[in-house]
Amino acid sequence: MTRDTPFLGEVSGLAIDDNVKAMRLSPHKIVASIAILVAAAAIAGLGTYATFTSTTSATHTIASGTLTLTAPFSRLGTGASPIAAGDTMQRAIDLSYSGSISFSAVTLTTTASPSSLLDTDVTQGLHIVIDMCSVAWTESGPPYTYTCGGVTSSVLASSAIIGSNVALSNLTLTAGSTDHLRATITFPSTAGNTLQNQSSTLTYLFTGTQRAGQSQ
Amino acid sequence: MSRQPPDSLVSRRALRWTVLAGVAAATFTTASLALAGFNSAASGGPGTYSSKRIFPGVRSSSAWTLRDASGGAVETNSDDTLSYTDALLKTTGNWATTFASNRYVELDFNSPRPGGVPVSSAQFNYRMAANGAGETACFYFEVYRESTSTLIGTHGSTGTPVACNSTIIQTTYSTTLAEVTNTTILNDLRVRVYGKESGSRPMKQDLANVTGSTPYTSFTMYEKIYRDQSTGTAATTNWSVATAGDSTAYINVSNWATTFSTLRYMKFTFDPAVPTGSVITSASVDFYYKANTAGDTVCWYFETYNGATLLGTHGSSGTPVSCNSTNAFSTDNVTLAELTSVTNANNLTIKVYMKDTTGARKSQMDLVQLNTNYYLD
Repeated sequence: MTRDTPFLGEVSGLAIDDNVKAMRLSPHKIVASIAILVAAAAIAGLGTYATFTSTTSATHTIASGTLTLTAPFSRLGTGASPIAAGDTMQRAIDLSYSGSISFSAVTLTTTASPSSLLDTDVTQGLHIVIDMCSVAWTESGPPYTYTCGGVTSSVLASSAIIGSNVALSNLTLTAGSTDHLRATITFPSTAGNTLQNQSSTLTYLFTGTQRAGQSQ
Repeated sequence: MSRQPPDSLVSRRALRWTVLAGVAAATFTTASLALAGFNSAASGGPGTYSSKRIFPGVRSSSAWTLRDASGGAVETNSDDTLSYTDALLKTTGNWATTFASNRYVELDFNSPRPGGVPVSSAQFNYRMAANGAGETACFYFEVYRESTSTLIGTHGSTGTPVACNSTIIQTTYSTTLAEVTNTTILNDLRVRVYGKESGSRPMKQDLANVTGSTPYTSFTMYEKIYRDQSTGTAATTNWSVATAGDSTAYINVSNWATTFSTLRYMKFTFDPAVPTGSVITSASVDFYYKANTAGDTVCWYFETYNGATLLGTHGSSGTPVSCNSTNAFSTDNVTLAELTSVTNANNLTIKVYMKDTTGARKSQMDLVQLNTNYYLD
């Protein structure tokens, strides 16, 4: 018996191994085939599940508030010269929480430039105390002194004049409110002669941070 | 097994560092975002604070210029012998012909200056001569803190004296004291002068003071204690009216009368060196006195002058400031309300009138001191 048609795997004029190699698909052909199958399935699916649809939408606005600390009134720019051991200088400053967000805390950082023993000598140099009055301080002078017609509270106990991020206590911190502060700067009576003829220029930076996050 | 080429190693390292850096950056960013929140700051100042150039304080200075007219005739110059260039000399004991560590004269100076003020050009002025013709006197000296006896400076040496004087002509030798840099040191000063004399004889000293300046005034420091150890054995002489209770008092040269007389007085001139521009807030005089003879009663009143200009009168012949009939010093302190100007303070002379109502004898003065309370803005 003769066969006119070669058996599967047989190609006329070819050996069996050559036939297998000839039938091996390239990767491009495989990817193309899969893509065709997926497309076909998708079309069939769409046809199977198509129905009526309707949509609605809702929008809302989320806006962030503002946190603003200002000093609408300040006597801290008024220095004093010449001072002697035992002298005290009172200077008022109002801190206004004028943004829409309340604060959680306010810290004070003081720096000196130029600097001298007045600010570097933490024992005999300048010291600062800060008090708060529930109403605006009544000012007299210069030299400035202040009296409180309301209730006073301590914001900062006696500290060396230079400090970094020193926590302040008893502040209101509520958005829209104002705290009336009075800084009393003291040149200790124990200051010795080495503190004669010294000069320091002081800058005060009050930094407030927002209240903690909460559900809105 | 083949090894990877060096290029591949470098690439892996670079990749590793890149990954680490990325992780760190991501961590930082995440943390920052987690900690971030709103903040706001307000500033106050700047305000400048400057301290006074000289703090308020009382500075006391005795009188080293003293004129004694207790006898009612001419004034006797009773100045401190070592404080001025004049005819008054202080003779040391006999020196050796070579320097020795136990042969010196030592001077402690007064303390009238406000402390903590820079000093420039401080110098020790020593004026001396050999004892006799043909002799040579040499010296070198050391500077100490009086309070601690700490040596702070040496000027010259046994081999190289500061100076030698081969004549009997008084000569001033001024030596810069670089170690005296401020008035705190200046107010605590001791100078020890080592000497030798070719004939083993004394030196004749005319002047031993310290001069200099601060940014605000020039000054002279006067000796208040003199220790002569030229022989190797110390003999101490305090300036009579500089220190209270030191068993050294000035006894006037002549007897007082039993009544006050404008011709019988003593004049004390002060040198407080109050800086120009200072504000004098108060001033007073300490006058500690008693009779030289126990049982006598002595009384006093005084006037204040700037040169010949009368500034004020305290007490009178009819109403003395006080009288003292005890054998203890009367420690009078009299306020000088008239002493408000720096010029008057720096030229102040008090003219003290005294009498010995009992026996027309002498008196003793233990302390005559001007106290000025001032500051300099």
